[in-house]
Amino acid sequence: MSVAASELEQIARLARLRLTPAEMARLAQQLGDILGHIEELLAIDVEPDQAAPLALEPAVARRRDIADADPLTRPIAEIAPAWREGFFTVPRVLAP
Amino acid sequence: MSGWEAVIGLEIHVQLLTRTKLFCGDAVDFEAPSNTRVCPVCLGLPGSLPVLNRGAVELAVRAALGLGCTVRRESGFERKNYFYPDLPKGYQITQLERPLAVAGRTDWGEAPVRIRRVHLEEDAGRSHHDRFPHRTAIDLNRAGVALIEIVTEPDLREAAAARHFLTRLRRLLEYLEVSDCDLEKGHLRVDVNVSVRRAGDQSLGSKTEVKNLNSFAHVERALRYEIARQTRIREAGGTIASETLLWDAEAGTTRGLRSKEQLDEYRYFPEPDLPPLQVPPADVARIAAGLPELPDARERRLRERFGLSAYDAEVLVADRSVAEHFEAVAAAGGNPKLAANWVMTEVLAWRNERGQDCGFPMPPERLARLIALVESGRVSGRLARLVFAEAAATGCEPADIVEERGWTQIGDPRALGGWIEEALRAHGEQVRRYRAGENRLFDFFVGRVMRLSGGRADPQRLTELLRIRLEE
Amino acid sequence: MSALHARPATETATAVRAGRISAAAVVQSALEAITAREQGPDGLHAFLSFDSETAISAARAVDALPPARRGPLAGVPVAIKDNLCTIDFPTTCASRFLARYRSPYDATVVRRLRAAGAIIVGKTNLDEFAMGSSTENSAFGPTRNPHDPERVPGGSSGGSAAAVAAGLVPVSLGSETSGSVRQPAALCGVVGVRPTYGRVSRYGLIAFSSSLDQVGPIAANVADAALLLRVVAGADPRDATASERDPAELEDTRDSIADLVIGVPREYFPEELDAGVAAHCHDALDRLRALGAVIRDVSLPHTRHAIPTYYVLAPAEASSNLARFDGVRFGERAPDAASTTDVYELSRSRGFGAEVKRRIMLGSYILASGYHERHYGRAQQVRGLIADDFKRAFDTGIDVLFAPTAPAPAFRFGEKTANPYEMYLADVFVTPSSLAALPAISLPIGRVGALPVGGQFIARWWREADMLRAARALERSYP
Repeated sequence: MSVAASELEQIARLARLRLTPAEMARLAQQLGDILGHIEELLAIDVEPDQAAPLALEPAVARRRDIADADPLTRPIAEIAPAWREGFFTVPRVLAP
Repeated sequence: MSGWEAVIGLEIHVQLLTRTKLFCGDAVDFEAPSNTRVCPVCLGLPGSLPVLNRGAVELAVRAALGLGCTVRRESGFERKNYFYPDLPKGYQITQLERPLAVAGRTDWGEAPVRIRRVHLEEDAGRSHHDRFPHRTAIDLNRAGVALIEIVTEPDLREAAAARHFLTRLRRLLEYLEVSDCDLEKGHLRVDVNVSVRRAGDQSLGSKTEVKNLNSFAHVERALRYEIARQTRIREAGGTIASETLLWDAEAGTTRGLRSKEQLDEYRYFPEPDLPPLQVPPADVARIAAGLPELPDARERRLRERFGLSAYDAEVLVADRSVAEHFEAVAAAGGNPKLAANWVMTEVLAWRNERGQDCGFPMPPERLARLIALVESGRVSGRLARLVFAEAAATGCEPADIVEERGWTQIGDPRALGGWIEEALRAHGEQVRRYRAGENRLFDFFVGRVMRLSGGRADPQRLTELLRIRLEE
Repeated sequence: MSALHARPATETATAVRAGRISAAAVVQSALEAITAREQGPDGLHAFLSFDSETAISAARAVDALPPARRGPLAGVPVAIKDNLCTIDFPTTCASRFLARYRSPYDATVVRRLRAAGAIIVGKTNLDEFAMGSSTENSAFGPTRNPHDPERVPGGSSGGSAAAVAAGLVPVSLGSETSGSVRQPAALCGVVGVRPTYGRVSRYGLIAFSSSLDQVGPIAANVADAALLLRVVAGADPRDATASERDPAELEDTRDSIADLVIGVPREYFPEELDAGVAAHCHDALDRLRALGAVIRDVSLPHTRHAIPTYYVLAPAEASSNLARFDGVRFGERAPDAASTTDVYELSRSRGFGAEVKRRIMLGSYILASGYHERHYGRAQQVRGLIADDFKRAFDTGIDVLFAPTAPAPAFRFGEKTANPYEMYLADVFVTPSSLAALPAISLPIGRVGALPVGGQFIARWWREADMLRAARALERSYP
């Protein structure tokens, strides 16, 4: 199994990764290899209802509608890579 | 350009009236300074996890039931993956494959409109592109706020019908206390899907999706524009490209997005951080039992029970609290038709002056007593308005106000006769002209006498006596 | 007598609660040992950060408490895998992207440790974002195996396992997505536990694959691992996947295992299995038999599909979980980003290492249209089949399964880095139970030369008590 370069480029764009040609070449080969191993799954005999979901606990109680947010122990300004007057900032996004 | 028919479906995002966000405990508060109603979860910080707000499920179920949907015993959440600076986690938690509710129906227009689905999802933050030069400013106070998306089947055929549907939908959601539905604040956002086909054709052509519709009026205008545009293209033998368009309200046109944005692929998959959402039938039954009377039913009942006109019923029912106020006035003994008039005029005017959430000028029982004073003739309609204003301002009893001010209506012929004589004496010239055939002067005399009586003269008795005196 | 800090956690906590020793002295001793062992070019590099001042002031706070309130882990030095959020240490996930990140909140497990009187002494090394089986994928350099400095400690919780194996701390926390606690525990010769999925809160554990991730304890002995598990387990209102079950059910003080039926899955003993590993496993089974347990052969036929299944599901979830590392709100933003696309692409491309990018690409590919339906859906089904295998085995009356943890002892640095799939196969015996959400424990069962060998017990869902009892009994059988 191999992955076409054009396909990889599109996936890299979707994943917001900018990869060098060397990285792309290596990935084409490695992903092809891994995907080749994954292909075997298609050959397994699966009856639709045989594969039951994991038998874990039923859904636990959901949150009540009361303000109980986990407080931040340090100001966001210390965490944010770019912060100005109470806002995160990024280079201007062209309005759609 | 006849012979073409539009096929319209709506997708409506509604902000739910929860106190806190859909997946974390931050208060929903849009007045708060930017980025102050945020926590690890809605900031999308590493390691944080969503936990579903029970209150949001409750409201979403109310909405779904109001739209006649079937609430599914088990639904689930998916991740919609895309990058945008105000989308903190790089995905939106929504329901794609397993929506909360399906298969509803509304009967608000000429034909029913089926509801395909109602599902829960979280809102994104807000991007401010004009706040700083060359920068986009991001506020995440809104990130994670609970929304429902309501999707109709493509059952609408006209732009005006779509607008009518939305008006009714908003009224329903307000009744259900599911949302404030304030369009200006973005509580209710509408996207439309539209295609055209030859009348009678049953197939669906390729459609366009139109976004950026900030009011119901814009929905209607954008649909008219888009229907005309598509019809022109089809008439000329062209084909419609399936694409997402933005409504440009200033230009009054739709335009395409840049092609790059169309490429986004959302790579949906089941949200592993949230177990399936179970809504047991008993919960659905409890919520259904707690629903208020829906506006359609209430309109019908007001017409049938109180003999109100369709117009009056619609005006009263448009706002749930107004309808309830009217019914309370009627229940307290106020003549229903008079009560309807008072509520539609004085009460609504009082409320309009004060804006949302202002309450009511007086308790319904008090308004009923004021109406009774009018009905019994103790106070004239004209003075009653003054009594209303004073009762609203001071909280005093109408009867006491009438008493104190001496505003009781006077029907006594001797008193009325005295004022009539005084008026005629003072206006001999007009009396002469009236008697010479200038009939329209009658109201002039009524006005003079009223003024002399301080507004207290019983208008009916006054008219009778005045006519007799002038005909002499 | 061993150094203060290297005594079993159960003993240390008892002594601190009784006031016989001070938490500060224990922690001081641990930090001296860490400083000595981490230093120099031959240093262990188990830690990405440690800090005497923070740890000792926390220890003094415990000492200041009345004895009754000092907690079940009073004064016990604990090392924490650096993918668990802490407010007082950096939280880097061994990634350049988070090189300077300071979490503004504590993970639930960290809060529970603090409340129990444990003292966090530092954060341990891992494969970047827990993606790996050798700790070689750390952006800050690998950790050495304390038993052989030329070899890997396993991974991804290699730092947590090495820190315990080197006697720097008695206990540590790691995390498993698929074997990342058990495999390094085996390669380092210590005890590592994977709890049932949902037993321990994931709040504050930086997600790799949400449907698989679980926090697990690492310790020098089974009792300490059990104690740590008991402290961190339990319902959490901030994690919807954390179970409401009472952690008290983890307790089982019985010594006898005469009532236990132990299954031996034949798929876990293939021909390629390292001969030394196989021999130690058979020896362990002999010991278990001698202790009165019934040993029974069993088959888990879908075992061989676990790795491909895992490499569909885990990267798919990871590609989404790692989308939040976009350079907008936290972490390292490329300073030369001129557009929002630059912010994303440059920050991510520079912030992530090769294995992380590989998995993001793989996961995005799998979730993208065309591939998604066929492979993702199928992998979900096969995951169900794998769980069914276990269920069937347990339904025949088997209480726990016994198998090797890793197919071979610790490998050399660089031995498996050329071929990612080779590396993935190091997890072949830990992946099926991970996919099935089962609890398991790895413990040392011998050595091949200087290198430890680990064996694992896999128990029924929520029956950690059974595997802990079996592990304790087997542990006691060794001199």
